[in-house]
Amino acid sequence: MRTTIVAAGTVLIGVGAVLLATMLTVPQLVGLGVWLACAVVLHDGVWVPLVTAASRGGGWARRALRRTAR
Amino acid sequence: MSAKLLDAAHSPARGTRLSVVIGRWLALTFAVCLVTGFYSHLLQDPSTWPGVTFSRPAWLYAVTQSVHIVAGTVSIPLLLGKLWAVYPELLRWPPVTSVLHGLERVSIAVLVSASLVEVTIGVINTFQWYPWPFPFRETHFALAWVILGSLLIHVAVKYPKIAAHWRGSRAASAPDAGRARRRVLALVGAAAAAAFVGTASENVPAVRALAVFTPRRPGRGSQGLAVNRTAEAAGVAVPADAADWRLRVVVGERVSEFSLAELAARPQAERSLPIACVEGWVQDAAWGGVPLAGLLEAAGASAGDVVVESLERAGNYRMTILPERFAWDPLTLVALRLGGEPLSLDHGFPARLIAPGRPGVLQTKWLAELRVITGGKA
Repeated sequence: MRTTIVAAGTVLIGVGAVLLATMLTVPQLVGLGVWLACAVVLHDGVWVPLVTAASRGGGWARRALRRTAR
Repeated sequence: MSAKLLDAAHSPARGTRLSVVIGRWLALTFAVCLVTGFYSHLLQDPSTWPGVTFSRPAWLYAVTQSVHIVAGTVSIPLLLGKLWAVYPELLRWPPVTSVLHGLERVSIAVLVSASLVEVTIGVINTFQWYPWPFPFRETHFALAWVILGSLLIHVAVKYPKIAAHWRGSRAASAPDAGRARRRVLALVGAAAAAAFVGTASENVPAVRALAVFTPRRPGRGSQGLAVNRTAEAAGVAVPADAADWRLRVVVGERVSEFSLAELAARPQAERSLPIACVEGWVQDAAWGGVPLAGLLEAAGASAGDVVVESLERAGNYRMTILPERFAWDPLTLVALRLGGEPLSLDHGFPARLIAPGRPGVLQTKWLAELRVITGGKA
């Protein structure tokens, strides 16, 4: 069952790829590739580290506040 | 290096349970977007799969497309939360342990990048800003297939973990982990709720001020109705008397021409129909004009799809196809009036199409020609 779903998923990705290949020109496909790559780089390389740093900072501030409150 | 990064990114809230809980919400919003998005695509491209779009109820498209925009916007905080929950997986070392594992990681990369781009361009598009080098509609549609496929693979691969964590278990996690997880869930849930209110309120007049995530408030524009594409933007200029303008109706070899005065002399009808934009805003308006079915009959037609052409010289929607079900719906008008007054130029003067259950971009303004086709042939 799971193998069948993986196979079906692969086919659907193929459908998407064929649609892109037929509807977009080569420069448009290259542009889309750049957007796809940038999305991952910005999310994983900038956004999540910022969120992680912010939550670290938030946790540190909360602990510091608790210490001063005591 | 990887261990240090993992340590820095550590949070007790992360874990399979958090992924499963957010993943379920995200699966729901993505599924809603998929169904409503495909419906909108079929309306805009009736040649791909004719016969599955409906002119009734007249508000059908207004609902499906509003839901699409709301669900898509709500997906953003859910997607960010989901990706945050699984971030340590990215930093795993070694990155690939077998060929199968490598393929799975590729499918994840496809899923993540396609999903991020899909929701990003979707939101930017609602602001009518197109800062990308590819066509929006085609790309948004094709990426939906890619996401559906890679998501099916993802769920199938992770199924044992999903099933194991479908129900929460207090014994399975330490109390502080449970607390931290609930804090993250509350944050993601609050962001999703804010996204919901900030978009869904756009079409609820009483709370419209809350629609902070939407660019256009219905009600702005001439004659109390919003305008996406002005006559100036479309390069259309028609003098106020429209003396030289004629609406051509072509049925086979027969060509009929109607002046504005001739259209106004025909039996008139008043209809309350919404303009429902692909960008998610909806506005009801009172239209007056000539029922299209009667006009087509007067020109010698009795059935068929209709090719609708605008005076616009360029533009993606200069020419559209009005499927038979919409063309012959008694609600469909060649509208001459809006709110009892002649159409303003921005609303399509001298005459525009208004049909139930269609995207606003297909409610062709500045009509020039209607050509009846049957079985795809002129």
